[in-house]
Amino acid sequence: MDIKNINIIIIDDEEMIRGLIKDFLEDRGLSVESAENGGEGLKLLLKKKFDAAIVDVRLPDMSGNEFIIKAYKIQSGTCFMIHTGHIEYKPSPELLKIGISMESVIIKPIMDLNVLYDKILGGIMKKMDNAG
Amino acid sequence: MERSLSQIIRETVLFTGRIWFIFLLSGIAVSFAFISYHFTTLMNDSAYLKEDFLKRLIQIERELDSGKFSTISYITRINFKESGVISESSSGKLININISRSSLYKNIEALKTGEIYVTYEPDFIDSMPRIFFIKRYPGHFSAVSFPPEQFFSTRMKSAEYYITGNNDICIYSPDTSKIGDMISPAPVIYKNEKIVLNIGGSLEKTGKINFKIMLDITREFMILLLFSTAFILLNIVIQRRGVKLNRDMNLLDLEFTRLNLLIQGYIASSGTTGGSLPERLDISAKAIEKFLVSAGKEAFVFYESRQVMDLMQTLMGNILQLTSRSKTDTEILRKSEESYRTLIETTSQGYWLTDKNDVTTGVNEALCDMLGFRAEEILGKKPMDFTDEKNRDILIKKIRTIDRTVHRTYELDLISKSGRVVMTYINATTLYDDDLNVTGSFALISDITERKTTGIELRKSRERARLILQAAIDAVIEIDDGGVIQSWNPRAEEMFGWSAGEALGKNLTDTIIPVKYRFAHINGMKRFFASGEEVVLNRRMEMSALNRSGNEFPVELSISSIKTGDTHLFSGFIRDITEKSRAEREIRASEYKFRTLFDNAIDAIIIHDSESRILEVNRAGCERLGYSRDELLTMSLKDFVHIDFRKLIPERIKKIYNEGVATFESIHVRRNKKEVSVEVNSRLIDFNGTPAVLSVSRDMTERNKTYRMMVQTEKMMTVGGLAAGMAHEINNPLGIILQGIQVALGRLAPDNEKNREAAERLGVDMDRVIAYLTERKIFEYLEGIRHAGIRASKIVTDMLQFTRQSTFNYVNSDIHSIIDKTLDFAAKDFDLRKKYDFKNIRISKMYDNGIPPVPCIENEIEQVLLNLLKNSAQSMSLIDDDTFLPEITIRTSMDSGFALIEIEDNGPGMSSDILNRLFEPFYTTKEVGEGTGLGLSISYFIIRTNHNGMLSADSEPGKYARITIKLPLKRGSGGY
Repeated sequence: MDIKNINIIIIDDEEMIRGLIKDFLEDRGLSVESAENGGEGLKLLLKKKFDAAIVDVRLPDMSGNEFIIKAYKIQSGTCFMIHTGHIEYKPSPELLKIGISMESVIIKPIMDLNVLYDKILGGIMKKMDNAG
Repeated sequence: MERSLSQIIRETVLFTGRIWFIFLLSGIAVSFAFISYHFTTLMNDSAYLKEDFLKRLIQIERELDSGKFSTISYITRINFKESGVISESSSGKLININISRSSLYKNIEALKTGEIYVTYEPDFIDSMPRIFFIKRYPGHFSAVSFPPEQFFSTRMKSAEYYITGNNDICIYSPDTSKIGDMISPAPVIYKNEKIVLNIGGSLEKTGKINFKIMLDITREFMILLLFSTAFILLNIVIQRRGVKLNRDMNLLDLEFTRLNLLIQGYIASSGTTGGSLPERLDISAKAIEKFLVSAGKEAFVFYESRQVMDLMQTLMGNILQLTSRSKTDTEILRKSEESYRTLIETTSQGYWLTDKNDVTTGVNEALCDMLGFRAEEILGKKPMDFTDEKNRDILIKKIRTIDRTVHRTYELDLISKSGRVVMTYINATTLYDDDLNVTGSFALISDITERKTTGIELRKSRERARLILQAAIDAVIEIDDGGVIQSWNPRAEEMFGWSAGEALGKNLTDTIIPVKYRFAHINGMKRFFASGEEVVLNRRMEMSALNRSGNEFPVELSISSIKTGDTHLFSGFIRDITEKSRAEREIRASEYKFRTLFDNAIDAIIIHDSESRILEVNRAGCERLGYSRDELLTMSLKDFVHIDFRKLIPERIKKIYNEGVATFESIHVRRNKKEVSVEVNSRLIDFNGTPAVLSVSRDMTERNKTYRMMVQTEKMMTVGGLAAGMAHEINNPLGIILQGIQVALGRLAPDNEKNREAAERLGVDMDRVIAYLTERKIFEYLEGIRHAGIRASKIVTDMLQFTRQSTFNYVNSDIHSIIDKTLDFAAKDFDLRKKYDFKNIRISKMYDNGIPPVPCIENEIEQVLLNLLKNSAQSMSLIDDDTFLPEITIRTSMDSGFALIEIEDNGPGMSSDILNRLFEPFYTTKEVGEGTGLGLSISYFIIRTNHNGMLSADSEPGKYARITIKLPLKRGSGGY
């Protein structure tokens, strides 16, 4: 799979976080789009296929959990990663049901973005294996 | 006299009857006047409005009929053709517009020429609802419309008024909120919790528009209601009273009439017939008369009195005797007899006449009522047929053993037809003929069931008292003046071994009084009779008594005397107190137990008097103060209470004496001059019969220590709460810092293709840029920022541990293996950046192998131990002396439910300042960057909160520092 064909979406209301992760991943050759709230994110998902989504838990219009559950209905093939500042975050039962585990959780602050990169690629591969 | 009295009462009743009628009438009249006043006002208002309304209508009709358009300002007028096209309009607008599709047009289509249609519809122009008057003319319609409020030229404040359209829907009211509401057409309605009078008016001409005026009459209605209720109640009361009085009076009248008749009858006969009969009749009559006079004075309901009944019976018996014996059948006598019969027929007492064979020959109505039988059912039967067996015997006895001289009275239970027992009082006389042969008997019978029942109750309670005596726990013995036993209850039989039969009649001295008391007993009795001196009476005494087998036992005794006539009866209540004496021994034993408790109490207990002299002190008190018990018993509080509190002593003792209890603080000074702060709980007690103060003083030194610990914990919790809120917020900016640096460094990487492209595009040499940034230490700064970010992030993560609720399972673990594991780990955790080497430190273990497994979260305990070991190692590394041999001693032991782990080093130790702040978050003695200052705080949190244990430190500067971990051996029980 060509790296360039991997589409990532970042949903985070903090502009700098959104921008920095986007820049970093783009520098690594991925295609990245971003949205500052859940509603916008869902709109993008309706338009385009994304391989992975990095979702902040606290969004202005809905919770990250809520977003993922809605987004999953649009694109069940997307690998969802949860980005949160809460060290005790645990995926809710609904999320567990759609295959989101502690492995999909990234705690803020991300000390090394390479870790995030690896995690995303790993997640996408796993998702593809499951599908294939 | 009797008549006039009854007359007066009668007249009063009638008069009262008239009065209430007048009351009622006037009340109704007032109410009517009141209501009609309001109606008039309303009607006037209504008429005024109606008139106003009609004027408007005439105006409107005139307008419709007139060919030209009017100048009335509030009216809008249009003419339109049958096709619906508007031909003329007063406003000039709307001309040529077709309204044939509007709902309005549909309603008027069918109108005949000359007919008017009235409706309430939105206007064509501005859609505001208006009232339309539409009239059909040949070839066209003419419509006038205006806003509904224009219907009235004035407003009234006294009432609410409405214009209603079809179906009583309000189309206009000064109160706009009513528009659209349904207005009830009923004349009086209940609306919004009010009673409303509704005066409606419809306009015959239109048939479509009505107007209504409503007035709130709630208050008036309520007043009217109240008046009517009061009148009706008064009426009922007076009438009932009147009826009752009337009935009573009638009854009374009847009695008087009857008696008068009788008297008159006899008085009349006395003159005509000579001999003994008239004389006796006369005497009888006079007796009746005399009775009537006194009875009239005393009571109306004379027949209730038993004396009266007896008297009547005697009189009537005499009369009956006389008349039946008389062979002279004169006219007067027959008349007299008739009068007399009237009397007995109607008397309220039962009357029962029998012949010589006891067969009933006559009864009156009262007797029939009493027994519930009809007269025919009783006649021909014997009185014995109306009793049960027991009463039959009584009756037969009474009849057979006739006392021929006096009439007899007795009580007898009769049985009514329904089977009910009727208790009666019977007054009977035997009747004889001239030859003194029994001809029968005559009885007057009174129902005394009710009175009798009360008597039975009395007897029952007397019986109950007897039973209580029988069942008493105490032996009850009665003796007479001579000391002879008169009564001996079952308990006495049991207690003394003599049966009642054996004891009765014996002398008390021969039975239960022990020899040593006999003399005193006889003397006491003598003294009592000589002087009335009651040495032993009505007083509780303890002495001993003798039972039949000669054994003496302790008793409690109280005696009372009852004087009946000239003789005395002494009642003695005696209780066996053998058990009680045993109880007293037990109290002494428990006193001993208390003594032991007193001496073994941990708190100092001092008993002192009001002068603060020590009366008693326990062992702890002696130890606390450093004096022996004997020494203290010669001392007073002043000798060891601190000078500052000494002057408070009298005041405090006074408070204890007044209030019974008191709690205060004080300082005791030991013999060795050391001061102990104490909390004293004092209580007023009875000490060997005199009031004294019992003071329990607790050493507060320990408690104050605990208190400080609690403050510490509280502080930690607050920090924890703050951290949780803060950490979350800080993580975002931290992310930006860390990621920003990373992306920035990434974009400065020379080997990145994209970077090179960008540089080329801008005409910059990438290598030179990097050389510049290196030269100016930009990379160092960036690296510094990144480190600072990572450090901050670590602090946040550490802080969050304060709030984390442990979800781990508590496992019973061997603390020694945890310690060993941690020591292994510490030895490997050799860090170049740190200046110490764990391998150089001598570790000595002093384990108590008797410690059972301790419930704990193993890795948390490891974390704490590691932290403590590192702290020790680091502090010891500060000693710059080659001869110094660093050593850590790890001791374990058990102490009342806790496992103790002590970690002691021989390093520089800590000053009391450091000790006090040791567990405070962010407090560190390490250089900046070496530690966050949270290590010991987290350790404290783990031990204190997660394990319910205690972490404490002590040290002597220059010698040692020691941290003690206390872990409860059982979860959920004990602990701090």
